[in-house]
Amino acid sequence: MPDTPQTIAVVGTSVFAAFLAGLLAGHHSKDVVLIASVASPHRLPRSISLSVAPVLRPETWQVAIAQWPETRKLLARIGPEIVSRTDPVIAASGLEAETALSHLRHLAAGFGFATEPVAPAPGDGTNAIRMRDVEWIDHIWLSTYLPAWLETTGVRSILPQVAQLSIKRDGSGRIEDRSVDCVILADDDAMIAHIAPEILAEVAQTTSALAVLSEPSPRQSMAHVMRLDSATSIYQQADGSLLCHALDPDGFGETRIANAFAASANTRQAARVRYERLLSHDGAPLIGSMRQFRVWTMSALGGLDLTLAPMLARFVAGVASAEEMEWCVARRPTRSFDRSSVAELALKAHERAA
Amino acid sequence: MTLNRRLIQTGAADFSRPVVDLHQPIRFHLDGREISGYAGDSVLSAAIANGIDTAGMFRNSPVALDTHSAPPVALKGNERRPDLAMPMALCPAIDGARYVTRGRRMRRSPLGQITQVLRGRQNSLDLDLNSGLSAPVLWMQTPAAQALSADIVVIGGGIAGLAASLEAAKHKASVILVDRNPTLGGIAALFGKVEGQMPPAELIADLTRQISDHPSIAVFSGTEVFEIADGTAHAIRTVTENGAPRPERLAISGKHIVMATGTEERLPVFPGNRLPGVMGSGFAWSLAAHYGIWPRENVHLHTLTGAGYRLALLGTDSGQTIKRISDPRYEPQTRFIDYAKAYGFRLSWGREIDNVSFTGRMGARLAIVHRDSERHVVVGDPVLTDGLIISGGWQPALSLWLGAGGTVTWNSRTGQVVATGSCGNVVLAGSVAGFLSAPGCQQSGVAVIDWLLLGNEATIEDPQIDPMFETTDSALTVAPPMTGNMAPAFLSPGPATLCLPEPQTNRLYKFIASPTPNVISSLPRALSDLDLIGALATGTINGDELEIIARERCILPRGLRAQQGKMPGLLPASDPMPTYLIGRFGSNQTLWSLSTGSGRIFDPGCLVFANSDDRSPLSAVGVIVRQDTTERPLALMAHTGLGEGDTIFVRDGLVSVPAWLGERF
Repeated sequence: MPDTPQTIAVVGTSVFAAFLAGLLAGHHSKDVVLIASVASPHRLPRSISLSVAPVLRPETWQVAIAQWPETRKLLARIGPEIVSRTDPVIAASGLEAETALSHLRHLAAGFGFATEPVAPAPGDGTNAIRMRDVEWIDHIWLSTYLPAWLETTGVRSILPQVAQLSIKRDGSGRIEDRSVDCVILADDDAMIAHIAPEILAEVAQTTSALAVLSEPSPRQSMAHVMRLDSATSIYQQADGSLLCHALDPDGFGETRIANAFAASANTRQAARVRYERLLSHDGAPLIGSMRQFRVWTMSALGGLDLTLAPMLARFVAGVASAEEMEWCVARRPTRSFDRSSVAELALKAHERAA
Repeated sequence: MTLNRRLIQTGAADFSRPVVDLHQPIRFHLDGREISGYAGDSVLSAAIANGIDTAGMFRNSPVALDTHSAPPVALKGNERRPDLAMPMALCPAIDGARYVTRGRRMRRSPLGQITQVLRGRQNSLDLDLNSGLSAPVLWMQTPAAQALSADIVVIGGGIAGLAASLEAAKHKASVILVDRNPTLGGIAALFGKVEGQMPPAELIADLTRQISDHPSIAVFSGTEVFEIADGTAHAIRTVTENGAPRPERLAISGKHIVMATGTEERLPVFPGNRLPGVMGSGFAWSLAAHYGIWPRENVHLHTLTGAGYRLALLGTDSGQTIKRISDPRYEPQTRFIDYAKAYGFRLSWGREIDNVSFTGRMGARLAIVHRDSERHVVVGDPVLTDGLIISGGWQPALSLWLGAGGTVTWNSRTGQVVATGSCGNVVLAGSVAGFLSAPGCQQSGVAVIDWLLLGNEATIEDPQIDPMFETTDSALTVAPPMTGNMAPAFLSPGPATLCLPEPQTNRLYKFIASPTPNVISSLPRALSDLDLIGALATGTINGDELEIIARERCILPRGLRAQQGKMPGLLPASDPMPTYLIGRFGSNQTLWSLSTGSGRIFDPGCLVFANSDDRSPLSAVGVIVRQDTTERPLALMAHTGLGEGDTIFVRDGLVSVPAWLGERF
């Protein structure tokens, strides 16, 4: 694969994959093919995206804060009402999680975000803080506008069942009779579909997750709750419905959601999907090519995926700044996961015993 | 209530054997109103017979009371017991009982209440439907009172379900047959006989007689399966003990589950399509056949199918007035049209309904505006009528299939969502599997059992009348959305209350406003197969998206279940150094104890700086990790050249606290 690829296949159905593809084509003049299943705004979002997320590495805070104004402008050009303000309540219980929450609070304050303890916290035996003035990126709205924007950038979208993608060991690929310099697996589904399980297991654990959309419920003072100890997220949308995500390796995903947010208990479900998610071994993103199978990955970015997308597009295009390059290179999948110097809070999923 | 819409005498064979006993009048109360009925009535049928035709209000517009909109009911005193709520359509009307409906009521000011009475809206259950119609959540989360099992569980007592039950019993299998209606047979009789075939009514009577004679078939009529999960059908029925009805949850497991749920009726999309007085032909036929109820004396019949003409004939045979029949098809052919002409119906072909609204005129409650099917322009004067029966065509009843995890696809040729693939131990038979004729459904029921029990595959003949003589059903028609004071145009009769969005007529608003996101994204409700049909017909979704939407949104709307106690942790216990601090201050970072003059205790995460005015985490030289056993703060520090006794500053909130490096670990 050349250092600066000209033809790129971005694989992934997430809004992040589409956004990245559009940026590579529209801003970096790459010839981009997006290989994605049917894009539908009705598809339940598999993740959430924020301007800043509960991460525990100062350098990640720095790149996110530096990148956000540009990302915000780009999103505003794609469509209105994609970004809105939120004051997430970040909760944790258990020694490890509560310690991490305390670290997070001081990091956020150090970067100028107002934080305050929340009492009573959502859930028993829980500590929580509220972080002010975070911005929420609405995946449903974004996916409504993305197809039209992708057209303007010149990205060609192909359904995976229509064109067979083959990936070579050097990370280049072939779509039908056409070669591409670089294949980027830009979400968890794409990585799970295209990387052999034994190779994937070197960098991440595959686990089940649950996304639920509820019927509208009364407005809550805590309209957005995230739990550090279980990666559970509940966000109350403008119409009162709750968009919920939880890990579900043990079948307790629904209970995690209901327990995390008192108002969600007994709220009727309107949509629900169980899907596979990757947890990198050190909780940090996976950016760059794999060790044996040199396909590019952009995964495990958590809530910062869309925020960091313009920087990641520059990284792929070879025009990232030295600081950006350093941040990305430190998170390449070939790093050592044992005592990783970029590790975040690393969750481990344990399947329920049969 | 004094209104009564019973067919006391009828010449229509379909309606001659209702389950109600007209010699046993009863009286009961519903939400404080006295209702008259007959033994055998359900609370829903008796309410409708007494003129209660409105479930409640949705966006300031009344919504018709039917099986989709009927709320759960409970005996008075049990209002707060969700476990004692019963489906209104399955709950028997008991003489002297006092029932209350469950659901959010419309909030009205005293003046509003007076206006309500003056407007004569006592015919409404007065529910607030703005947050959606009732879903079976009240009983879906209660534990099953009875666990039953059989070799074969058959859901649906139409021709296919009856044939499957008999075939299974013939092969010595134990069978449980579950049907939501009070009598077996489904709605096949509505479609009438076809030359050269046994009339459906006779076929049903014959199969039903054989079923009742068979000891290995247990029949559960009036029992509704609301979910199939893990190979078990979960159902609700009502049982009456000591003169009081109560709900009973059943869990029915079987080696195989045969879903013979038949079809559901589609709803053409136009403003006012769920106004009180508007009714589907299937529901109208069921009310008449089971309970001897005809909705209104003077009705207009709008049909996209041949069966609609037959219903008009049945209504006339029962002494009711059919003012007119409209049909979006041009020159439709059906074996019933000659009769329709002979009966003197006014027939309007090539006419869709543009909208329906209430009219203030006495004796004619609805005004139906038609438009030309091809040119899409309004034609003729509004038709004034007391009621409107719509035969909108049929959709395989796949809600249970979807809820069980079955997959579907869009058949654009038939305009139906159809099942694909397999789904655990669930198999489809009859019209839900796509068979149309009575012999086809019967053979399908037999063939499914032979395949399950014997491994035999059979060819099923599904004879169809040549379209030259029986025009195929029209595609679902879609009129422009509501404007002004029109009632909403619902996409389906289902509980999700999806509507066509009202167009924005203000030019300035159109210019500055963003495009409205699709109605499904902005309306969070679980969907049914009928919602999918309406959404597809209106272009709200496209066929490519169907699989995703069906998988994610066609679910049973359960409540999220909280649980006391600790959840299994997903965060492993870390060694003394949390993962996110590894290498945080370089490879030579070290742990130091700190001393403060005040003995101050710091939270983990407080940042340590070399200068008192620093605050950026990027210039931090350390971070507080924890307190040691003597409550001295321990800090993880960068290799800075600082040594024991040197001053550093710990930022704790807004203040910077001086501290001194103590022992290095």
